[in-house]
Amino acid sequence: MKFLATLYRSPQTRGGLIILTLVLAIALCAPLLSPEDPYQVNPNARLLPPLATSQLSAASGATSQGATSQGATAQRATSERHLLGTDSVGRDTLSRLIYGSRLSLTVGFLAVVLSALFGTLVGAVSGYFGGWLESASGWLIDVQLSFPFLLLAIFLLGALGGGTLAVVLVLALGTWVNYARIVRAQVLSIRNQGYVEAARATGAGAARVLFLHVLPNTLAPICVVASFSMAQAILTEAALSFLGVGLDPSTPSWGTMLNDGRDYLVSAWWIATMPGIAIGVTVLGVTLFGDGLRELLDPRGLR
Amino acid sequence: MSAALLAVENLSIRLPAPDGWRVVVSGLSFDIAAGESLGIVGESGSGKTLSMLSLLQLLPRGAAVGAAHARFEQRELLQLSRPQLDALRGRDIAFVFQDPLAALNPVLTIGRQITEVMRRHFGVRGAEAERRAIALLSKVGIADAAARLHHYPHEFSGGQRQRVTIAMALAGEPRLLIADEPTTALDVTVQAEIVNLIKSVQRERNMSLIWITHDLSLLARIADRVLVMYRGEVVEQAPIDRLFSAPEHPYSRTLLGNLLSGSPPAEPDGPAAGAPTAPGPAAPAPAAPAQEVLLAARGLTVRYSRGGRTLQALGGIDLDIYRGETLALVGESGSGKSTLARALIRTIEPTAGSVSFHGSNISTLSGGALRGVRRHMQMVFQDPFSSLNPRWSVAAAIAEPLVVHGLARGSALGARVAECLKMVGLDASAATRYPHEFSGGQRQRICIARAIACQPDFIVADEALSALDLSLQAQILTLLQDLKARFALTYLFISHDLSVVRRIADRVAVMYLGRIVELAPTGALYEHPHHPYTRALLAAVPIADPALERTRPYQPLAGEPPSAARPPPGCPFHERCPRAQDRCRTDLPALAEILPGRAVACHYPH
Repeated sequence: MKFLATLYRSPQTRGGLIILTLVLAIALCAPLLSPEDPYQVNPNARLLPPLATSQLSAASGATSQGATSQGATAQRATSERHLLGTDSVGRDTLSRLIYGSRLSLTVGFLAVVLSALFGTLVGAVSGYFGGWLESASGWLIDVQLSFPFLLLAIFLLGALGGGTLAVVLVLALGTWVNYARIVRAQVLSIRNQGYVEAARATGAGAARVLFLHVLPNTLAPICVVASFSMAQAILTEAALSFLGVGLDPSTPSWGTMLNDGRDYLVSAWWIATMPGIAIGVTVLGVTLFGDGLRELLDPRGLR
Repeated sequence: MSAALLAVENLSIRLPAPDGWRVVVSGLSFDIAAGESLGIVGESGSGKTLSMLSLLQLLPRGAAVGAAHARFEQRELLQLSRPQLDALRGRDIAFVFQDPLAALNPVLTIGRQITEVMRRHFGVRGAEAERRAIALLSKVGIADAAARLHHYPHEFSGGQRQRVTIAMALAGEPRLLIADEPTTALDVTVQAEIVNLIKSVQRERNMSLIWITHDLSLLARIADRVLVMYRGEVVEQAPIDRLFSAPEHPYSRTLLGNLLSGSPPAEPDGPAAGAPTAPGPAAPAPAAPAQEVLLAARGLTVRYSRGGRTLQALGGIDLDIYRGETLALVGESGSGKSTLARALIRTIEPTAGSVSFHGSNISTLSGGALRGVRRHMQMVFQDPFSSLNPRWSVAAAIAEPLVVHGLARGSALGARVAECLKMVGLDASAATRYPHEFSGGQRQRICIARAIACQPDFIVADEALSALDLSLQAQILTLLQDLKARFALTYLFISHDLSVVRRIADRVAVMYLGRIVELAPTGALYEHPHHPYTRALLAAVPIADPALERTRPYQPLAGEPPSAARPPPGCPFHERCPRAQDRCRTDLPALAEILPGRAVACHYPH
């Protein structure tokens, strides 16, 4: 609790914390918040601008998967206000945005956490121990980098058969190299710091030195890379869906929405703009929070 | 006395701080005549360097500098415009900085850097500039100057680099040379050469010299007058002789007291040594012969191979360290002192040879068994800033050896940490704080607390005092001696500072190029060094007695230490040795006992 209170003190971190809490709350309460069924197609309400009102067709409600009951849909069937407009098949943008947060956040967070863990481990071990471990991990990194990511992703997703977990795994596979390289460079320099030699001279074993002395001091660049990677992961997920190897394109996610809106940038700007803003705000939250966390974990930053 | 070349009155410097201004220098007044040498002495942070930089408006943006006047040959320095300043800097007033590596541009040849000054100030270029640069380099003692002109800074050793920066400073034929700790990063032998060089140039050109240093004894050889600074103020200004014989301000007395209790090394009994020096406190008694050997090295060798070339860092060391003694390792940088210490406690793997501790061989141990032995051998490092993990609280740092060896946990751990803090003179409340909240001296105390936490028998102090100011050195030295007496510790004390060594060590091992060349009880070694290298080393140490320094003939050691990658055949020292004979060029002398307790590796010892 004291930890959170300290985090809350700095205005930037507070901003990040508030944004992230809001986004998380929206994702969790999506069924309560979203005005309509995000899957519901309405041919009569295609490409409506924000704040426009639509007339629901007779086909409405048939494919409902959301929380809205048939009855409720029928009651509001005559006219529906679309706060953020509709997309090319008449789905409500706001609802898709709200539901999309669930998938985008899950994919983004999981991919970042997974790739950061794996990349950091590989980088740290190769940097600290050197020798054949370093050669082996260097080889692994080279192999990884020599494959075009999308090609690899298409191949793997084809083999794994899609699904959220598969997408997360593929995304992590595409970004762990960033962490591995940065952490390795950091470890190489920290390894020669006096306190590392001091710990070794004290009798501390390799694992203790690596995990308690070296790794905590590589946290700052990891945080920076992680906040960038988060945005990247959300967008790449969209690219994969666009290529037809990721998630079902009808699944609401910020990335797929961006892709949908690409063709209508001039005629219906809101379709791509709204998820873009959502991604931007979330990434801002992650960055602010990550920065604050990094400072908090560094005793030199405390007053 | 002629009119002052530089006259400064009431100089003050303020730097912006989070809460308003911080006054770093106030009320500084001094003047210096043509050809005069002024020494400025003070601890780090006393404002010595800042005041000199401020005169040339070289302070960082935001600093507020004020003075009643700061006049250099009728010019008000603080009111000069940029073009006027550019014409003055490097031409009338030149600087020599502490770190020659940082002061030279690594991607330009030294020839370019020296001729640039001439082009800038005299419009001399091309062949004429090169000719002048070669003359300058020869003057500062760079051999084969014409060829070296086209070399880059990294191709020179530390001492040579400082010679190059001096050549650069002299290229503008300045009236005033400001030398800011130019020898602090250098070995004592090289320091002596640089001092000789600057003094001779000064005499020749009737140049004025301001020498900034924290080492008062060095000024005995250099300065006519001394300014003692403390916390941004001049506390005493006096001619050198009067300062040493009758210091007025308590702080000057403290500075001198630190020097004298360290006792200058006695003049080696060379042909010209007549004047007896003031006797220091009695040297510690030589180690009694029948002592128990705590740590013994036999044929300890460390070689590195890189790109097909082998570099021999340690060449077969045989050494016994007795329980309860303080053995000092001295020698120039690169002589293998630190390598030897690390090979002894096995943080470096020796290539060959063995080490036994408490009579059992530890060179074959590995993993857990080796870590178990480490409990009894701890180390204190040179840099108190890098040797503490910035993310760990003081308590965690001190507790680490206890945790690693499973010696205490829970409340016992906390109690032991508090106890260790108390032993090194820190408050128990320090435990929850972090290293960045402490000063250098306090950090070194924390490092010592960490080293003694698991009650070791043997502590290696690797230049543990070198990064500290003189007054702090004295405190830490006292602390180390107290702890030694309390816990029957054995120290291996690595230092390049021979006056500190004299104060703490029972025996001294002198190292040169990876070998021990002389091993003797401290008192005997300082009174009668047998090896020519030891003699040169001792002679290079400044003596805190201006009168003696003026009359003392000093012959600096010629040349640079040879590279460990290409050690000369025979005795490694023969190239610089004044006594070398044919035999020295072919036969490697072994370390042999010439008197009980005294061993020398020399064919023709003194």
